[in-house]
Amino acid sequence: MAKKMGFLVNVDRCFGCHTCEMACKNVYQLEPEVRWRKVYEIKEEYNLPERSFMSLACNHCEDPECKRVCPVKAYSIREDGIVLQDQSRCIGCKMCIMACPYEVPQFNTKLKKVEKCHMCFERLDKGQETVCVAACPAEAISTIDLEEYYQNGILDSLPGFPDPDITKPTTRFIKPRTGIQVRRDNNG
Amino acid sequence: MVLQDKITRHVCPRNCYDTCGILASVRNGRIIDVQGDPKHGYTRGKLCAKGYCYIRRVYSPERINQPLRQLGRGTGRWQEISWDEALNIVCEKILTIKDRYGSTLPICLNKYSGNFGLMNFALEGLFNSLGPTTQVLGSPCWSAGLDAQMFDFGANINSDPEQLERSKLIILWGVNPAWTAVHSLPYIFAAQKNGAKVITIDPYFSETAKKGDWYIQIKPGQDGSLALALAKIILENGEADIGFLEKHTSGWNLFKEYLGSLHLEELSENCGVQKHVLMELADLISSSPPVFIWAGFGMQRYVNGGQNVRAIDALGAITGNIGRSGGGVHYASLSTWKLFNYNFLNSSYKNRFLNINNFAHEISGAQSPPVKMLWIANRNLFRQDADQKELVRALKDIELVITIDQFHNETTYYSDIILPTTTFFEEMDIVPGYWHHWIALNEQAISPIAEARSDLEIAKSVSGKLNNLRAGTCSFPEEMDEKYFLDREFSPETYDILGIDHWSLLENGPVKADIPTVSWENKKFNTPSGKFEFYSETAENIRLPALPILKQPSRCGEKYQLRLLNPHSQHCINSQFRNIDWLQTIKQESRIYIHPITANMKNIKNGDSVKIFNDNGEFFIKAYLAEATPKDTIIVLQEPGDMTQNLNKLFQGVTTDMGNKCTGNPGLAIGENFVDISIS
Amino acid sequence: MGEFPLVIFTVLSQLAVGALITVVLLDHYSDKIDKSLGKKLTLIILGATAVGLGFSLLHLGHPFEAYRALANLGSSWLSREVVLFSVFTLLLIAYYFQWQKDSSNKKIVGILASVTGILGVISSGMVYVLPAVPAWNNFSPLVFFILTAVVLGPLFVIAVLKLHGITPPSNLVGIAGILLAGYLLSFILYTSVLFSSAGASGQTAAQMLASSSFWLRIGLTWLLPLGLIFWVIRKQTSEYKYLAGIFLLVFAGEIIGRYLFYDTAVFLKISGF
Repeated sequence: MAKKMGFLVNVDRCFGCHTCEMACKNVYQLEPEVRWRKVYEIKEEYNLPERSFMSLACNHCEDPECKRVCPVKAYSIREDGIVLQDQSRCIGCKMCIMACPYEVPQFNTKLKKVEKCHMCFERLDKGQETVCVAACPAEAISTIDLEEYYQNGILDSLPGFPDPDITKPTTRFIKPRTGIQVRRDNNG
Repeated sequence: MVLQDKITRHVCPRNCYDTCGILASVRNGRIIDVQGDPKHGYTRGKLCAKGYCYIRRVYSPERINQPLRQLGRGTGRWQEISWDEALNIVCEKILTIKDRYGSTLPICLNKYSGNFGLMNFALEGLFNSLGPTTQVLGSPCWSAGLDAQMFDFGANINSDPEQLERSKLIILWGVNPAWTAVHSLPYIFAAQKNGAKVITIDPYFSETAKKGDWYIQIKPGQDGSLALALAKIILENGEADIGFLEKHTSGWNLFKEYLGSLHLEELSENCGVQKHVLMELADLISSSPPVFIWAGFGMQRYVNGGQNVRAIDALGAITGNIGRSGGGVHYASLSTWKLFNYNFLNSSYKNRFLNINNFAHEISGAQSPPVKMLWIANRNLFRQDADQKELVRALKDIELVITIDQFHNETTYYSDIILPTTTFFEEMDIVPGYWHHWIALNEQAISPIAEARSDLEIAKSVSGKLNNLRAGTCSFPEEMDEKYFLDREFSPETYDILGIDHWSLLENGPVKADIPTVSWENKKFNTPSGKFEFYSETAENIRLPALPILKQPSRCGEKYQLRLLNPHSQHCINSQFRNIDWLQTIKQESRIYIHPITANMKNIKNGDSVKIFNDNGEFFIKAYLAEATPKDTIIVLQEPGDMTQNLNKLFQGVTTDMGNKCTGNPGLAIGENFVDISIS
Repeated sequence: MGEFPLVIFTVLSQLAVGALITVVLLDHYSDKIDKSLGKKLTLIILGATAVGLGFSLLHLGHPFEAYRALANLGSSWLSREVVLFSVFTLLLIAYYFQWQKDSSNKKIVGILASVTGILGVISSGMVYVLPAVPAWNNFSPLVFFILTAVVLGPLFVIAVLKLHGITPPSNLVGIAGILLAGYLLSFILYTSVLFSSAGASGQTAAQMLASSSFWLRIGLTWLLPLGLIFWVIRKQTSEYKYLAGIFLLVFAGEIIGRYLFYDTAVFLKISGF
């Protein structure tokens, strides 16, 4: 059976250090404004102090909108489910940027072309971890084969993550747990 | 010339717990990526977000490429000059001053922690080769805590922090490793996986607190109250480790008596933690040995900071966690620092030392002879020092200000000459850390960018120029290379401890120093009594309380009632890294954290522009309401984004209770800064 | 105005398609257009199409590689749009020569070109039917793009006819007025549906209402020309300045409207709890 690769994002572990994002930039020497991976702070409502983060890159969707709308067929899906973009084909029409619900494709203003996370497929093929996974100090991200991986309590969405029904992302989440907070204002 | 592709080893020299091992891949004489060094046993092949951005620093278009002269301080009219011209200006000034005053004392060096490499001390070496000079003494940072542990234990050592994994209860006390020491998180997580609980004690709900099992919000500066309350409860519950206390401590009976005299209600009121919570915490502590207490730098930056740390040490002792594997009270370690000789610091002259934390006043107060030349290195003085107003005023009598740096900043603004310096990828060095027990070599990956020179090269060129102008002026060994200087930093004992014959073997990878994995395991302390000292005569002799007793932080005045805290931010170390473009893409807008009730009283709404002010100055910033902030405190992270305003202007420079013993001067009590806020 | 090239391209291409349909219909139902005017109108329409296509290239990072956009006819509406407008352009050229030759095939070519054009406009609309943009993910891009074509086209042809001293058929002005009124009503309906919905669609409507361009568009380029059309029909006048004014106002309105279309669209994105 074919593989279906996806990122598993452990929000309980992630502490928002952005190391994954910078490690990715470092290896691929990205332009400053180009972000293949982004760490999102899950909004802190001031009456509910939370500090949770989602580290997201391309969700390598099963029904990728980028692939559907791209007029030059730059996008393809590998056998293992990784969504690749062939930058040599890109003409910079930005359709994919409009169509992706997750702001994944990034416009490189120097090359005037789009680029995005390819799940370090060359490294995976060599049996190595992706750059972000290898760099994460908290083991908060991993790559999993959805056909094989099963664990109780993994979610296909979190509040703030656009409807997974649109493109069927392969990203999965482990949600955060909350410790005991003894704050002075709930403390008299 | 064909340049060989290579991978070089490095050590991040920043003032940081982690002191990471780094590998740089070099192709055609250019670094193409940086990685963590997998042979470094503590940082284990990983870097932090800042570390992965280093290429953007090395090749930043903002780097200063050649010596600059400013035509009028603060004018921004910079003129590119050659090294020869720059050295001429500097050296002629040295000679003129020396002739005028018959002494080199008017020449002053202010250097601190921008780089912690052994070779960065070459500047002290240069000054110590000139004659008696004026230098700074002390540390703005960790002084009080160092003294506290010195009084209690007799030395500043810690257990190997990898011991965190073995703990059953980790107390992260006034420290936010999720932001300032990411490499310790895996050890904390591993302990959690093994069933350990994690308590974070902090005035504000930090990222680290989020990851713990318990978060205790404490009133700023009241850590002593909390520690003493816990100690008292544990003692009264009959859970104290009497065996340890009677055998290995001194002054226990006095301290026991003292604990008996304290009132729990008062302590609870002081620290803002309710009694029933204190009881629960005390239970948790006594029932989950080993307890690893990580005492951060935050809680000792108060006028009672040293006492706070001593009280926490006492809590560790009462519970018998001192010397226990996976336990103990850990603050900072000088064990690996002290392995080296620091030859550059040796001086045969009688230098004049100014208090680094009262520099502005002492530099203008220094007489016969006055200070006439100021040399600033490894720090951004005009951003990080207290009492900025006085500092600027003190400059007017200084004839020449020289700054060594890679980028323009607040300090170069006030300088006459900038000497461009190398990053650690462009020089060779050894960088010891103050937390883990590893030592690694920093190799040279690439040639210096443009005309940058390392601190060592600068020292050598100044020496060369001086002796050229007037033979015999400077005794700095100008002909020697860094190998010579590194050689003399190592003693046979050091090689023994590192298990190598020569430092060059570190090319093969970092090594772990053979120093005790568990500090004080043999219960032989370095104090005069050889025991853990509840009662410290050493402290008493310098007019400090002998016992770890309750001392209060400053109270706010009538006029300014809000305490301003400025903890370290996530992606800067003081003003370092602020100009790295990759990091700028993830930086949140600077903001002031205010409790909604406090904000409401001041009619401030989320997103409003707020003025923070006191008699010393004002600062403008956007409001962010968060209940995670205490009501009597506001928080602004140290995110020195723009150069037009400086939060430190508001801080006059109150100092801590301790610090003289270990660093020569008390530290800065930066937690004792009171302000008011209004909508701007 | 990051999407300026697309604003120009979509409005001009839709104007061209609407104008062509008007010309083909007028040619069939009336004798108002003689050979020279037919050629002239076709050339103008061809010109508008060419300028529009030219602007569309400016939107690309690599305009000279635009031809490669034909590669994904299977699923990309952008590919289809490119093909349809290329064919439309070729058919326009053919149509021009039909006028030239007075060929009997003129009508067939005209109809073919019109159908291709309408399909082109539909594919332009479909490009924006994206689940990632809830405000667009419905019939609205299609409907409004077609409305742009059928409102601007006749008004444009009316103005050109009048410029050549030909009084346009009076019912044509009426039809244009009805279409414009229908356009306004459907837009109001659309905006209120958006406004009452949650999330990105609601935000889109809120942004639209908050924009002064929106009110400019409603007042100056919808209500005012509607009033003018009403007045022109009542007075039974056909002075050039009024007819040209109506076209210019509506054209300006379409430019502003298209700018708002791009500018106020709220994309789905990752946000907090």
